[in-house]
Amino acid sequence: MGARDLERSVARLANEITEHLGDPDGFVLIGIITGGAHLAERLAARIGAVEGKRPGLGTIDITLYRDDLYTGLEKPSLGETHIPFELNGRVVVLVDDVLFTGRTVRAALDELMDYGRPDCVQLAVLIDRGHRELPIAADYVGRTIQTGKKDRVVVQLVEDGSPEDGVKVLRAGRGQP
Amino acid sequence: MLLLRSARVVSPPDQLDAICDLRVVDGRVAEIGVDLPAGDSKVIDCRGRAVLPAFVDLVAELPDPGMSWREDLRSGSLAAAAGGFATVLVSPVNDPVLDQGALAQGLVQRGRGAPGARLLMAGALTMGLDGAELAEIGSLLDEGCVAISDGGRATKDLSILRNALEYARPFGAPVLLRPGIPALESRGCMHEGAVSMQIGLRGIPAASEEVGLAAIIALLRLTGGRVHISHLSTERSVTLLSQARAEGLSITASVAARSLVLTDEQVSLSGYSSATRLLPPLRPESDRRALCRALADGLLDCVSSDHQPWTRVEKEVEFERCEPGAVGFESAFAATLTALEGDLPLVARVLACRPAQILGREVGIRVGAPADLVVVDPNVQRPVGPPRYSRGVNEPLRGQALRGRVELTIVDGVVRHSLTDRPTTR
Amino acid sequence: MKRKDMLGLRDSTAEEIGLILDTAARFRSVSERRIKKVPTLRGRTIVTAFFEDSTRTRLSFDVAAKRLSADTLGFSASSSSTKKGETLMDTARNLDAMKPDAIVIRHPCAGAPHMLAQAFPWSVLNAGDGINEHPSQALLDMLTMRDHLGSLAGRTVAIVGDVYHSRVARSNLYGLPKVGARVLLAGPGTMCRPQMARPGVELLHRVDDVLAEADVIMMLRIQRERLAPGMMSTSREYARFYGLDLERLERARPEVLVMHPGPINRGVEMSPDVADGDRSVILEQVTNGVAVRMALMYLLLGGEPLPPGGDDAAAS
Repeated sequence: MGARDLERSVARLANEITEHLGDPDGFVLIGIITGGAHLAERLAARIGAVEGKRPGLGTIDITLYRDDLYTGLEKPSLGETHIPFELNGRVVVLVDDVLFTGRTVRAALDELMDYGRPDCVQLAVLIDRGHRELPIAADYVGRTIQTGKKDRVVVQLVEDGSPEDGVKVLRAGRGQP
Repeated sequence: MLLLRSARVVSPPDQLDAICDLRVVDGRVAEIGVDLPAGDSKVIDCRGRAVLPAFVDLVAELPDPGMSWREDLRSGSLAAAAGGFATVLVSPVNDPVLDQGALAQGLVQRGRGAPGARLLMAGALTMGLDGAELAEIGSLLDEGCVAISDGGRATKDLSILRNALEYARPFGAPVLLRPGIPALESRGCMHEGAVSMQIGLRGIPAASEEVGLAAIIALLRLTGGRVHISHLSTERSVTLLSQARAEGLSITASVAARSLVLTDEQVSLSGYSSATRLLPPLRPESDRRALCRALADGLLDCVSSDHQPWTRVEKEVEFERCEPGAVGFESAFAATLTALEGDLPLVARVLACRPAQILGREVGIRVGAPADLVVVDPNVQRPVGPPRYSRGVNEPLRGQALRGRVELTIVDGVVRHSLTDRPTTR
Repeated sequence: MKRKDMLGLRDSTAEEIGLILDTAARFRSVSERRIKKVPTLRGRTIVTAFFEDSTRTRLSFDVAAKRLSADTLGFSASSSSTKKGETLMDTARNLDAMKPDAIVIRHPCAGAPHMLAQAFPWSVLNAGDGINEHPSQALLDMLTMRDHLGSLAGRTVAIVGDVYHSRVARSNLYGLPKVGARVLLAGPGTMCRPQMARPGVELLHRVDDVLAEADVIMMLRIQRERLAPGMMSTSREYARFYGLDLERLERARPEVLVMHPGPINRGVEMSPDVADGDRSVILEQVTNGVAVRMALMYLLLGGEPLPPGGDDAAAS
């Protein structure tokens, strides 16, 4: 998936979100660090360009809510959860780059609830690669792709220091179990 | 009858250092020569090995009776023999303290009948080693004690010390004293210096030992008599000692074998291991080197095991709360040989000849002399393991790669320890 | 952080100290939320074993563990069998049987935490051992300094008072030079000794000697019960040479920070107007204490090395 495809997907996601939720004052975007944060910024910018005003924007770092902390991370470094608005009574769209097992979203939901009680939480992802391990589904999907469980899906954005936007699927090497 | 074949036989008093055979008959050295016929003798191949006069230890604690779970005379005697010692002077730190003639007789006999090294008893200098009243010094010596000792407790009251030295003088036996000023040591638990400051332990300044030694020397000048410094550990103490000797005072000194290898850094390196808590404490590298040099130069007389066994119960406590002291019998030879860079004649002098002379015992390897001999492998190098015979667990040298191993200890012509035999007690 | 225990800053690296402080800064926000709790250490058991009284430090560790959702067990010498002759190792074996994940220990003997760390698989956090170290306190001091000064590199921190008996000072003496700060020591000769000086640590004498250069003045508590006879004269004499009052503070840099590990002897090491004045950051130190202790628990208990590859699979 190249830069142009990625941009089209972002535009479509933005359209779908405003179609469903209407006025950007009526909902907020919260990006999941790290992959979802820049994506949420792009969505907000796109919505702002089309609608004339931007929705509220926040980030959420789920490290402290992970269920694999004791086995997963080499150096558990913390990002910053930044939610500059009251969550009670809000409509929240969680934004992430790739939806895979669903565990990140589970953690993000738990964390959101500790910050307040939104009226409604929806989920927007750029890529749905399947292999869910929890009963979680996205409300807005940029693109669905078929992957093997061991494959890696990497979303590159220029904001992260990548030379250009794009999505790569790194197929698991042959001979691997 | 035993025939030690093709050993390097080293005996400084006899100016002997040669590869030869040595026959032992009826507890005495019967023949020294080359290619001696085997005859009826049991032949022990000693190629690559050295035979020295068996070691004599002036500073060791075997708290029997009283705390025999730490070590009794039997386990202590076997551990000493395993370390190459044929003779051990036992400090009077038992309970009851050996401070009356009536207590001495049985203990002296048990010591002579011990299964490994022969154990000689030192009587207490003061009642209960409390430093307040004189013990029955004369009766103790009459009943078979061979020396008088403060049991490693530095005497607080200098007027008592002065009187004790005066009183002991005409009896002629050596008085063993640890130099130190208790008030300067009271809360300390290691050498006071850069390391103690770094790791947050209160220190014992070298000045404590040096002030104590200066006081002992001044009193000895006043009283006359014979003093043996049981625990000497600093460079300046060596200077004080040699000055005292230069003016003709009868004063000799021992250093603990481990102090020739370890320094105060070991407390930090071992992570506050309670085995490294000692009194006197391990000193810095400069002192360690000075002590080795002083032995080579003859300024310092003897190396002791300073054997103080503690079991897991007593040593498995916080560094600041544990009792000072470490086992020493089984590692003393290797520590000494390593520190003195393999110089066997020097090792024989400091571990066997000088301490024997201080006790007035005959020493040497010559025809007709009592066969107190040790066979050592001076070349093997290996890490120190846990004690095999002692009941103590506190070995601060554990893990250090040291040179030399005792293979056979012969006391009065009888093999009391052989490396190839399994330990018989634990 | 690739270590099992936090025993002191003597053997910590500048990188580790930086990681702990960065992490602690993040953790402060948890304490500012409505729900002051994250599930990070849910199901983990942390024992606070205090063999010496200390309400403040103990509370701080306890709050930190609870905000990370760990289960905490309190254990103190007065309520335990140590008074009945049980040794530290006996006690520790009993605690071990309860399968803890970490033990926070304060003990009157230097090296007691090291002994447990060598003998048991769980993490040991040193909350003060004898006169040796108190690393979490030094770390919270450093975090507080960093909040006000930015980087500590090139800054000058004066530590005044009973440095010899202060485990807080000893930890700061190790930590501060590692992050590039310069340390000045002042205090009575019995409490500030020449062996303490080394690269990055200078030995001066009176409090007046450090005023002009210090960005931070850390006043230490005088604990008379720890002092051997003859280590100090009267409180009046102490205050005259080593105490900080408003008149002296006026000669210090205008933006100087005044710190104290608490509790303060007002009128001895510090006059009340200084302790409660606007240069004092003593209460910030307390707030930062919880964050630093959360960071330490999180970093010690929070992760094991990742098997190579597949970071996507971990949580996405």
